[in-house]
Amino acid sequence: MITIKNLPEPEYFVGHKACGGCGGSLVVRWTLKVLGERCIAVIPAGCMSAVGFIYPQMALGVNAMIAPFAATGAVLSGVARGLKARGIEDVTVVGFAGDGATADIGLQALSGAFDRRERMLYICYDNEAYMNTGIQKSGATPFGARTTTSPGGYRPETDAPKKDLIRIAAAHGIPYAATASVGYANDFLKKVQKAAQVEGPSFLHVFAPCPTGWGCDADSTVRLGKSVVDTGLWPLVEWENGAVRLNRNPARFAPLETYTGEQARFRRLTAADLADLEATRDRQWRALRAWVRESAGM
Amino acid sequence: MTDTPPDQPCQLAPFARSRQIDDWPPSPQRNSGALATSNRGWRIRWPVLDLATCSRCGLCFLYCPDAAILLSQEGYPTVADDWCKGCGLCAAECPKDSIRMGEDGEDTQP
Repeated sequence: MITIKNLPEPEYFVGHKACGGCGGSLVVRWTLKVLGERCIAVIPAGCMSAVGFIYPQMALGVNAMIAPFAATGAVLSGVARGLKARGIEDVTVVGFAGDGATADIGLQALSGAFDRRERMLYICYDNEAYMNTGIQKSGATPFGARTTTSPGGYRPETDAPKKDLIRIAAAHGIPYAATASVGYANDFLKKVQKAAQVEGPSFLHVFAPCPTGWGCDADSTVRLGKSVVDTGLWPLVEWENGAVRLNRNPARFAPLETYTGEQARFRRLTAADLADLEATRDRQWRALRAWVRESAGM
Repeated sequence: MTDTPPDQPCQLAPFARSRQIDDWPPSPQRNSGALATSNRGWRIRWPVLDLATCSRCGLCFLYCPDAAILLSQEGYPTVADDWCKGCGLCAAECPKDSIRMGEDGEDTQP
């Protein structure tokens, strides 16, 4: 088992031009360290392809290609089928897509790949907006967050502003799906290893802070990755063959200000907004716990 | 560019400044582990290490998004000059406060 204590030394994602403190680049770097050389990466249009494939250098040390924005799932399927046709079984096919390329634009291709039971690992690094094109609101933008297309803070009409990707993935009946955060490295590394071993599609939804888009300090990436979990805004959930598990199920959460206070995108949130956010969070946790009980047959 | 790409992806090749357009290769051919242009101009701060208090936990190596922290055989960190973007994650996450974000170019060795 690979943990933070025995992380393999070879680097497969260095020399990239991501902003200082980028959470998405940490996700790619850690994942490729775990998967090693026998791996093919597919990255759609987005930050990681913009910063990883800059002439005259490719920052990825493994075979990798850029997919069209909407086609990550389809390109992953093609690569997986090609490997299968050639009888190659020890190569992991992994996709790194942002939240826009997963929750909005690439959802159809991803759904198709899930449906065909392709042997692939799909990782969504969620920085909660379209960061590469200029911080526009995406389907994964949370309540109250300022983006360039929601300058006063995103005020949705619905109770669940963020698309629930883990439940969308689980609804396809895939063998493995989980959420993770860059703040909890061991948990993330464990889930990557599990997901890579699965026969069939697996899905990881990883919280990856973006200092540039969120208006937080470049050194707050890991701190925010921890506090988002501690405040209950990012539950660590694991779906495995029809059974869902909460990796952390705290009785009480840290105050929301410990997470929102550090970020300029939440600066407009009033005390009433925070109370709303808290109520939404509690409602979502009740639904989550009900889902856990239901999957356990209780 | 005349320098050859490293054999191992983990080895960071020394950064070679290109002078002429002819120095650049006709197609993308440099591996992970090489650096096309230095990151030196990105930063205003940079990590100054205090190895006397370092507990060799390796968290700085883990959390550096740019893999700019290299660990020696004994597990002590060093910072790769051309690679560091000065984000300060290593200093923020160091449990022993052995890393301080100092003036860019300040010597990391005591």
